[in-house]
Amino acid sequence: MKDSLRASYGWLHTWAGVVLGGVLFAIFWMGTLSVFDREIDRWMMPDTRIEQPAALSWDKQVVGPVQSLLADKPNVAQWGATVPSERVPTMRVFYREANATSSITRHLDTAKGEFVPDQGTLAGTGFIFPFHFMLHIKWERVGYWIVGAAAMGMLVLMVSGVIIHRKIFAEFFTFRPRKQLRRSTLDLHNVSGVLGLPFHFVMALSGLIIFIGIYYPQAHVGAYGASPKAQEQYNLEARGAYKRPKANAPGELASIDAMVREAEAQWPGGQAFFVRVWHPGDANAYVEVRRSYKHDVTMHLDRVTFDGTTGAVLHRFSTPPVGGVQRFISGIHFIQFEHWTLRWLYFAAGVLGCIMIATGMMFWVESRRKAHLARQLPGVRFVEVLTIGSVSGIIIATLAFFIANKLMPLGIEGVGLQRDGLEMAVFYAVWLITFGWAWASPRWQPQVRAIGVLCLVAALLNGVTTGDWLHLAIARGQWGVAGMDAMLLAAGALALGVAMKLAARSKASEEPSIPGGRGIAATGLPQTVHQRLP
Amino acid sequence: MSQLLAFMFALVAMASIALAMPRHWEQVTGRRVEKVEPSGLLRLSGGALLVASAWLSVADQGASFGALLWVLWITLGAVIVALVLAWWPDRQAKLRS
Repeated sequence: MKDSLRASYGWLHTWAGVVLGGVLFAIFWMGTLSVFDREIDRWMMPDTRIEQPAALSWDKQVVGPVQSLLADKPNVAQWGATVPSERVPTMRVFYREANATSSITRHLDTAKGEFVPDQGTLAGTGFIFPFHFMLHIKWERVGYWIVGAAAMGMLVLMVSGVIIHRKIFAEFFTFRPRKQLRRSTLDLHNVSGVLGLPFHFVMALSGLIIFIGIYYPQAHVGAYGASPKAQEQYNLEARGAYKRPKANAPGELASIDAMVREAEAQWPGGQAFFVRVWHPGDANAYVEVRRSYKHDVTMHLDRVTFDGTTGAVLHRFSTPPVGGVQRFISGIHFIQFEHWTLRWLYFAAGVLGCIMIATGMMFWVESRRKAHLARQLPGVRFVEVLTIGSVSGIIIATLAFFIANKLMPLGIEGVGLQRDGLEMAVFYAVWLITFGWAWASPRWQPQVRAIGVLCLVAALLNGVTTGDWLHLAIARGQWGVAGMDAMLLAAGALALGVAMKLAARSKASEEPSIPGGRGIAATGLPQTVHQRLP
Repeated sequence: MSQLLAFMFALVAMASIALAMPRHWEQVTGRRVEKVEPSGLLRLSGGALLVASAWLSVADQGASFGALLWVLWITLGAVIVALVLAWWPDRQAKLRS
C-alpha cells in the first residue's frame, strides 16, 4: 500500500517535472534576476546612473517638464511619477494615451529638470520582470495562464517530491559530490529541494495569490454582482480606485506639493511615493497620491485622491483587513521594501531553486541514459536537448541580451523594430540557437564555457562603453552597476571553472560525446522510479 | 549585528542537528557509531538555538521582516552545513598527507 502510493506519486513527480521543468526553470531564472531588476536597469541604462536628489518639488521640478513632454499629445488619459529612491535615482514618469494598450515610461533627472535620453531598452523592470510572470505572451493572457499552471504544478511537485523522498530526514544534509554523477545529481536535487522548500512553497503559492484577479476574475461577483458598475464599486471599496468621467472642459492643475503635504499629514510617519494625474488638463482632473510601503512587507494601497483643479480631498482610502492580507502575501513575493539583507537572501534562495529544477531534469536524463541507449529510445536525447536549452540556453540568451544592450547605439532601428525590440529579438534568437546547438551536440561543456566567456565580455563591455569600471563604480557609490559587474565576473569565473572540470572529465571518460554516461548501477535509489521507466 | 547573531545561531543549530545523525557524526569524528551518544543533547541545543535565532530576528526587525529573515537564515545555514559536510572528508585527507 505504502509502496504503491509512493510509486504513483513517483510517476506524477517524474512526468510533471519533465513536462514543466523547462518553463519552471525560465520562471525561476527570471524571478531570481528580478530580485535585482532595478540594478539591472541601472546597468542597462547608463544615462540613469545619477545621484539621488536630496529634495523634491513636484510643482517646480516635475510638472513643467512633464507638461512640455505631453504638449503635442492631447489625448493623454493619465500620467504619473514615482519619486527617486536609492535604487532608482531618477524620477520614473509614465503616461498613457486614451486609446493606447500600454504606457510609456521616461526617466526624469529632477536636478537638471530634463528627461534622460530614451535608453531604448526594456531592461530589468520591462523585460526580465514581466518575463517572470507572463513570459511576454500577451495574446489572451496565455502567458499568465501558463505561469499559473506552472505554479500549480510546482506545488504538486513539491508535495509529491516530499512523499517519494525515502530518507527525507536521514539525508537532510546529504550531498555526495564525489559519488557517481547520477547519485550526486539526485543528492543535489534532494538537498536543494528540501532545504529550499519553505521559501519555494511560499513563492509558488504567493505568486498564484498575486494574480487572483486574473485567475478568478469573477471573485467579487458574489458580493457585488456582475454589472460593470459592480466592478467599479469593488475597485473603489477594496482597492481605493476612485474614478470620475472627464468634463471635456479645460482646467488648470492645482499645486501637487500642497496635495502631497496634506496626504502625508494624514499618514503618521508615512511618505508619498507615487502621484498620478487622471484626465490631465481637464476640469474634472483628479490626482491620486499613494503612500510609500518601503518600510513594510505589505504593499498596502493607501491613497488620498484630490480634485485636480481645486486641490480638495475627494476620497481617502486605507487598505481594509482582507485586502491587506492579499497585499501582505503579495509583498512577500514582490520585495518592494528596502532591505538589502533580505534581497540577497531572496536571490540566494532563488539560485537554490534554479539548481533544484536543473538537477531534477538532469537526473531524469542520467537515470535513463543507459536503458534508453540500449533500447534505442529517443527520450533521453530529446529531454537532454530540452534540458540544456532550457538551463544553459536561457542563461546564454540573457547574457546575449545584456551584451546587445552594450553594443547597439541609441536610436538604432531594424527589421521593423525599435532598439528595445531588437534587444528582445537577440534574446529569443540566441535562445533558439542554443536549442539547435544542443541538438547538434548534446553536451553541457560548450554551453557552460560560452556562459563563462559571455559573462566576462558583458562586464568588459560595460567598462568600455560607459567608463564605469568596477573599481570606479564602487568609488562613486554606483552599487547597482558595481554589483552587476561583480556578479558577472564571479559567475564568469565559476562557469569557466566548471567548463574546465567538465572538459577534463569527458577526456577521462571513454565516451566523450556522452558526459557522465558512466554506469547506472543501483545506489539505493527509489527502485520504483527505475521500474517505471518507459 | 543582531541579524549576524541570528544567522550564527541558525548555522550552529543546523550543524548540531546534523551532528546528531550517525552518518555525519562519523564523517566528522572518523569514528563509526551505532547511535550518536549525545544526540539528544545536540538536538535539544539545536532546537534551543533555533528558538533563540527566531527571537533575535523578530525582536530586531519586527514580526514580518523577522520571520522572513529567520526562515531564510535557517535555509542558508542548512545549505552551508550540507556543503561543508560534502567536502569534509577531503579536507581530512589533505590534513593527513
